[in-house]
Amino acid sequence: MKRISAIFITLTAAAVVLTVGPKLYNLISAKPESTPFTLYSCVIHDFTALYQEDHDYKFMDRCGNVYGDEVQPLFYASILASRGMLPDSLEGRKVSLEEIERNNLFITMDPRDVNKVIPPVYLLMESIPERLELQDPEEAFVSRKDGLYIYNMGDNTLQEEKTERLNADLRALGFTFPARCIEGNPTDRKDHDEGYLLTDSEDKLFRIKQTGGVIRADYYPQADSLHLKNLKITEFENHATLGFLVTGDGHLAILKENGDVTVTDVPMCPEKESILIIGDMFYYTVETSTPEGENYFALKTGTFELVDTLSRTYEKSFSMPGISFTSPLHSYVKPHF
Amino acid sequence: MQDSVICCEHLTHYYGKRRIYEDLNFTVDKGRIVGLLGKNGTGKTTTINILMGYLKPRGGSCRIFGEDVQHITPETRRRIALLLEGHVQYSYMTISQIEKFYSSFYPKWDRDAYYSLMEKLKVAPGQKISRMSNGQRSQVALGLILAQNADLLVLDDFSLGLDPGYRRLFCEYLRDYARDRGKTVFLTSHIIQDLEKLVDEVIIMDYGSILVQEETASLMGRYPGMTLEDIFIELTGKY
Amino acid sequence: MFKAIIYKEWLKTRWLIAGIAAVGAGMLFYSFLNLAKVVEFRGAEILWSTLIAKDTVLLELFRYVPAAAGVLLALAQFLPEVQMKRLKLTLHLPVKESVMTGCITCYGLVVLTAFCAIHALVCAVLLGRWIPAELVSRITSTMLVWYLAGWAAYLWTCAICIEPTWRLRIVLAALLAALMGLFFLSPVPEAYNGFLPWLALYTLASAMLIFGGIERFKEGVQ
Repeated sequence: MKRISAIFITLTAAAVVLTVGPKLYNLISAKPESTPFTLYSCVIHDFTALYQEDHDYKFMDRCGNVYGDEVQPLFYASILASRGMLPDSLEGRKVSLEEIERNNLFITMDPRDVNKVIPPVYLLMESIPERLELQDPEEAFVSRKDGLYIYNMGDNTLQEEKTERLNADLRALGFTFPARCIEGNPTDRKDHDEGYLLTDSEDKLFRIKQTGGVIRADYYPQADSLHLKNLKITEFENHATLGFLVTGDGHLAILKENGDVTVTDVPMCPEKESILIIGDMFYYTVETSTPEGENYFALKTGTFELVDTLSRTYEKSFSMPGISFTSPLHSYVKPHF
Repeated sequence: MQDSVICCEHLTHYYGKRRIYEDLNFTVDKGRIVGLLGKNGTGKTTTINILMGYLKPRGGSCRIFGEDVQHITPETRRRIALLLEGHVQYSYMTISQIEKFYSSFYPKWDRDAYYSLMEKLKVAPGQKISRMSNGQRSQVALGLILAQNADLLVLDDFSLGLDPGYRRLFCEYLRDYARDRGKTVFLTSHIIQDLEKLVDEVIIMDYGSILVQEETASLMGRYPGMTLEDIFIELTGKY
Repeated sequence: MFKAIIYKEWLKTRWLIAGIAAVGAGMLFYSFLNLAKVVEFRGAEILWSTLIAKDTVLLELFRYVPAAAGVLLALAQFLPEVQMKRLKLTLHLPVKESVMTGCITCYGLVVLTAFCAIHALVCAVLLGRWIPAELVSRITSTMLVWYLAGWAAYLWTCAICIEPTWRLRIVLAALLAALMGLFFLSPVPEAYNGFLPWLALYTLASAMLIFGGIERFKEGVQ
């Protein structure tokens, strides 16, 4: 036992050294790294990267041409408007500050938000508030093997009638329990609530939304063959989209309010990539980044046709390998080299 | 020929590079009270540690009741009562708690032997051993080893920290107990004066070797007019 | 004989166990009083939304208690054994060393487990009044790693106490500190779900350090 315990101590010490040593080295040798903010411009139809020159911010396209804020009129609409420099029309149509701001959208997804254990309990918001603002929800639903169960949070009681009605409605639409993926945005810091997108055990796409105390279920058959892996509900002011989806073969798809699903040519993996989508009236800039580099995709608003791409690979700096128990890609604690 | 209860052959031990002893040989026969005497640092406690299996010697071997001391079985340990240097005990217990604890391990436990000694102690029933004097603690330790009814009693420096009164009490009790019941006793001490009337046989150690292993009476006969202590100093040198 | 061994361990640890129970009960009472007041003033909805939206399990106050209890229990059991080398008395008792060591260690583990099990049960029962089983399960699953940290702290502290050489004691103490860091690496609920079985196996295997230490003690390693 003495020998075995000596081996045990040695292996533990080795693991500690392999964990702490590289971490310390990488901490000491870390250098600041940044990549420029990049956005597709509807003016020059190219990607522009933001950089700082003499306390002033400039944009540069891929040919090295330098521009000011006017190359991104939709992103800097309010600044340009305050200077009286906002153009009257863009891409052959008249634009106003109000319309621009209504159509600007911004959404992020991080692997750590995907790669973690999410409790199967979801707050049920009322989509049309009685007063001006959304209220804190009073009910929540729990996803179980045989259905969604609605509870009154105040007294932890099951709302049997409401539960039965919801599950019956879902089954009538072809929902097969248990739900595989449920995604919503249960916060009152928004204008309106679009409920929850959910997939059933056969990867069919549905939505539930509570309006005036009644939960309505919708089915989106266009997503049936897509074997959806990830869902992200969108609640933009312009109601242009209902959700961003990721298909089973790793592509971004857009779900519109009318139920149409458009699969784009943008490859995407939310489990491994940080995702940023900045959209405006004319184009969506989709950025996917990993520790190795980043990719940009420009999509035409409305059709979501891919019009341009840009890739950047990060300069490889030496990082001492070792054992790590955490990762920027997930919220789990588990060893990996 | 009497049975050997303890038999050590070619015992060698070093602490680092410091030699304690080399090629040490001695036996303790059944029913004898044998004293291992020596100055401080000559290896008395080392010998006890080796005998009880708490120290692996560099060379040689020891056997107690025929078993290698490095692998004494529980059944054999039941036949050996051990008193550690300083009368170390579970001092967080009271005298009744410690008796209750020890008695579970020894089927031949003699409750009367323990409590007859405890009656002499003037302590409150709930008093912890840690709150007793050195002398009282030694009595508790003595009571426990006597009550075990073991065949072999091993005592390491039993007189440490005791005044002459307690030392005499200890020696008298031990001698009467061992002789009446035919027990074997192996003890170490560096205070010689109490041992003349206690031990049948002495082993006198010096740094690295045994100077004498002889019957006490025979040894004292060879040095007439001298006490055992005088003989010890004569053999080991004054300092 | 086993009764006597447990009796001895009980005598050494009874006041500490009472203290740990009192502190644990006090912390539970404080935590749930807080929660009850929150529910009274803001409704139980706030508990649901906090548990769903934030990386918390509401009972973080208790996070380090099992580890602290493990360390204290090990010290209470083994410090008296190693002071004045009293361990020699224990190992001299007519019981196989492995059985004796196992019995003493099991006592500590059982005490810790009972403490943690009672805590988990009380939490589950009280929380179940306000939140559904799925959220209660999330909280208790998250607390499992805190309980395991208690076991690890206990076993490694036992090994540190028994170890006869100061050099290896320092090494073991440093490794224990690093190990404790691993148990508290992430506050995200259920972050340890997949890794927990392996961590539990490793923690149980740490018990061999105690047996190894006993062997080294018996060889007289200095």
